[in-house]
Amino acid sequence: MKAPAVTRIIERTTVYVALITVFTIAVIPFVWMITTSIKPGEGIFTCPPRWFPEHPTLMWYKQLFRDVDFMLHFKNSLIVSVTTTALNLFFCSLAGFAFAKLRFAGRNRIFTLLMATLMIPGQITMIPVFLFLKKLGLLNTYWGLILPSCVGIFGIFLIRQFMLTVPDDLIEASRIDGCSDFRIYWSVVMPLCKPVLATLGIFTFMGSWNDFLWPLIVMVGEDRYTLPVALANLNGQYATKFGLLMAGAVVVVIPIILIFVLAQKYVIRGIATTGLKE
Amino acid sequence: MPIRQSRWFSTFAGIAILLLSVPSARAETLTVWAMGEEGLRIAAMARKFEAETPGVKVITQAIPWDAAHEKLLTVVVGGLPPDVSQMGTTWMAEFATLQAFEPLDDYVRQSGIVKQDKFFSGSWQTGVVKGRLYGIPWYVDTRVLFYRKDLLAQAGIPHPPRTWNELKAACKVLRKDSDRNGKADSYGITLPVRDWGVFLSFVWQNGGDVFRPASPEYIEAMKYYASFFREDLAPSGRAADIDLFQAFKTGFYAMFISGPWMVELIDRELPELKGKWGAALMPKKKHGTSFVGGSNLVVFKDSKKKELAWKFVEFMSRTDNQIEWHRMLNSLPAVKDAWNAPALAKHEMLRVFGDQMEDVQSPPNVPEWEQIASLINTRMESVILSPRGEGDKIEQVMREHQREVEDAVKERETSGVRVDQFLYTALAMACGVAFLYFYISHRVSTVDAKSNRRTLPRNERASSFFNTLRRAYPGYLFILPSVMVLTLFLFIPILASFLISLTDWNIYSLADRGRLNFVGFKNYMDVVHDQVFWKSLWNTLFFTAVGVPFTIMISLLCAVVLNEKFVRWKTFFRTAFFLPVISTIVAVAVVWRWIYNPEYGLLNWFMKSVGLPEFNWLSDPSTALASLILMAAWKNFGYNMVIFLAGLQSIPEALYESARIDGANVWQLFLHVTLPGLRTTTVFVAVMSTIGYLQFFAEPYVMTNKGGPLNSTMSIVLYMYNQGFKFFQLGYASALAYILFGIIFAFTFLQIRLRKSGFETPV
Repeated sequence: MKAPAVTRIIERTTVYVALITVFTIAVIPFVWMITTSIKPGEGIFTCPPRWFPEHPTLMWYKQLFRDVDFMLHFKNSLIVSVTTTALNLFFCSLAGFAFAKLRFAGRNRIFTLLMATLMIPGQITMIPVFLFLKKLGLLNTYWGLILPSCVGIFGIFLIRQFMLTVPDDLIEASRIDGCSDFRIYWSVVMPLCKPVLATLGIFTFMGSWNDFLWPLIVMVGEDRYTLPVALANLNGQYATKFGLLMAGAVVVVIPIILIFVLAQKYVIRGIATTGLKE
Repeated sequence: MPIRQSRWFSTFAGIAILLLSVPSARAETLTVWAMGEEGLRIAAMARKFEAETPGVKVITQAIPWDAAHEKLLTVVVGGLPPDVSQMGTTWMAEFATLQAFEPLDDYVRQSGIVKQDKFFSGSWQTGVVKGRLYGIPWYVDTRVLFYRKDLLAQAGIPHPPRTWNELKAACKVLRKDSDRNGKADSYGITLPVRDWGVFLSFVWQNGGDVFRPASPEYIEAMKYYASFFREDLAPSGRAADIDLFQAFKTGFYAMFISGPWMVELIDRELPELKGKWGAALMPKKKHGTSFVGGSNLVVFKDSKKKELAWKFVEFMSRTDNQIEWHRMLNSLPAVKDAWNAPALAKHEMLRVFGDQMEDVQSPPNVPEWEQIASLINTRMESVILSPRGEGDKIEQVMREHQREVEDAVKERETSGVRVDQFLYTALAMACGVAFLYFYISHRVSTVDAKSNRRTLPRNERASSFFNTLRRAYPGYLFILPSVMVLTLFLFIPILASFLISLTDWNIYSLADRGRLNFVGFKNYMDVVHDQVFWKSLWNTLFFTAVGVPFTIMISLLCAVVLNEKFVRWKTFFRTAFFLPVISTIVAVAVVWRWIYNPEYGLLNWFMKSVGLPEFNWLSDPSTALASLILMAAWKNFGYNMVIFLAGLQSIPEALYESARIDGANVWQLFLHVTLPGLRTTTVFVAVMSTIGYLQFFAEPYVMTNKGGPLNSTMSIVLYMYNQGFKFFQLGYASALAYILFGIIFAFTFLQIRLRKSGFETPV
């Protein structure tokens, strides 16, 4: 029985070596991002790379919030992401509920139509929506970012799939008790949907927080830039001030990483669900 | 119930509006935009203006130069321009044609400060488009030759080169390869690979003309310019990326061509070189011409504070402020009186610029200039970077270039289809399609729902379309907000985009509706002859064809390994692998640009330490796209891995057990149990990744300076963005979007068909 034991050891070593290699590759850029952001001016351009600064400093962060006013961009990002997420949760769950639990003419047709448009690349709508927002006077406003993305077809789909699993008997019972449809949605079904709402909430927030192309087009004034646009702008302006850029990158990335680490259960579950159900 | 709900709605909407309404400042504010360094420094002038003009607050905004053009176009099209802006002289015609500027002739007539004869006449003309004055020169700019006196003297060159021949000869003497490895250790001069300003100076010196690139004068200039790279007399590739100050200090090159700002920068960055460097006039062929540019100040037509804006322009044109501005930025004053200031008249280097101003030329004042400039840059880069020995092709390249320049300035005939008519037709068509769709779906669903009918009261069975609507009221109310938003921001735009793709909608028809034409499928036809499109298509397909399998392989591998029962800290590893997925691409790009840095980057350091060749990852056309694929794989593998992990969970353990009993080894288990079990998951992952990869945009936007080098990382979406929001060729950009849609549709269809046939074959 010795041979299997040896094989097992080899197998396990290989697996751990592979895992640690991938782990290193996945994490190195983040480590470098953080250590560079606390390195004083010199020492960024050294070869071989020096990983940890001898004299850590917060000067780049100070500069980031004092001279570049990253707080303002942080606020912009937060307002847009939070509002987009809230609206998405409300609108998508309303629609998801209707598609899952209410019966009305054309329900499946409309749902199929929505699913079909999932495949259309977002770029197709960019130009008309830009002109439309211009007509409405919504360019350079938070609403210009929020309105076009306040309902996601993917969100409707996700919530509908989850709501399908809520037993019909429960809904029928509430209806017999005299609950209106909205009451059933709000007081009976929604509380059961907390996990999927968490999933959708985190997804929408991440998508909105990380969005780059649309804010780049809509937000004209520097005071309205969201974090990714502000960072790209910084990149254009101070291409060689790596410490400052890395500090900016850390500020953009950290909130989203925190949210993910705290709520990763929902993220993973959400992705896994979409992958299997189609 | 509907009442309850609508109250809920209005409360929610009310709260949201309250949250988002931003109090607008009532104080009189003036918004001023400037580019690059000017944008940062102009704040000081703004404070001075505020002190002189009580009750006014000036908000300055700095725009990076490389984003300035598209940014300005966007705000002009969006109707949200600043009050005053710095405007590159070469952009005047384009924006004037867009009717973006306030004509300034009347303002000047009444002004005591701004008068034509106070300015250099050549520079004044840059503000005039089709006989009307739109911009007041702020500062002028020209190029001269910077050189190291000591290095030239050491090499036995008595004075800076005055002619083309002297320049070439000097460079041959100054190029050194002391270790004789074929790589030069120092050069005579560095020349830009993509900078029409410097290149056109040589064309003009030879009597060439921007509009006639196929002429012998132009071709000779191009050959002369390119010969510096072909004969390795000027650094190219990695060597050209070395920091200019570093290179000038160490003597890596002894000469370069640049503008007035360099005078101050060299003094500041390289104090040790004091007295060892100088500035000289451009070398002469037929002429000693240099390029003249600079910036004007303009007032926008959509500004609501034009009087105040003009006051600011006058303020900046005052001789004392011109001198002060020169002191701050070392830019050359546009007002002649300012040149009497000692700082300019007695300055050894700056005087050279004054002399050079006697023989200068500016690019033609045509609205298409930006497009032509970008064409020149591309041609320049392609001739210079093309493999040695292709020298004979220059004539052919220049003939192609002439054709594209002629195309760019060709007059478009207008047919006078009104844009409003067009929009109404579009809207009517959209409504018609929507109505038809729902009518048909109603008919179909009445047939579908026949079995459900049994539960309904008998008298409602033979219901009309509108009856159905009434009965279905609650359901519709629930989907109403979503459907409304999606109709406005998705369905109508999808149709409108298609209609726009059938027109020649561009910046000019945005400004003047009469110039919009219905052109049928012309945009789709034009794509066929568009080399950049084919390049971007090829890049996109390559990116997808290599990137998707590569990413999926890594994801699958990680999933299988992580799924092993004995592995500990699974959540920890999974979290780490997922970090790249959730992080913002722009932030990630900052780090990856460092990883790919040829001098200090992690990747080259790694390559060197394991004895592999180093690359100039992002600035070499042959590796740039591969570099982006690598980064995309890093960013995305975690997402697919999670889906694969879920897929692995659903493979019954019994299958593995029985296979093991049959004596299968690890590899056979993977091949005959795991892979077939993951078939559905793999197809799903492949479809989703393909759709995502076909739309790659942010990677080249932030990593390779928007698609460079040589368009080797230009993607379809990026090209569409360029056409749409940089050049505002909305019709053409919409056609590109639809072509991309067609490609995505075809791929998805194909992959799903493959899956279907795959299911039919026995596993």
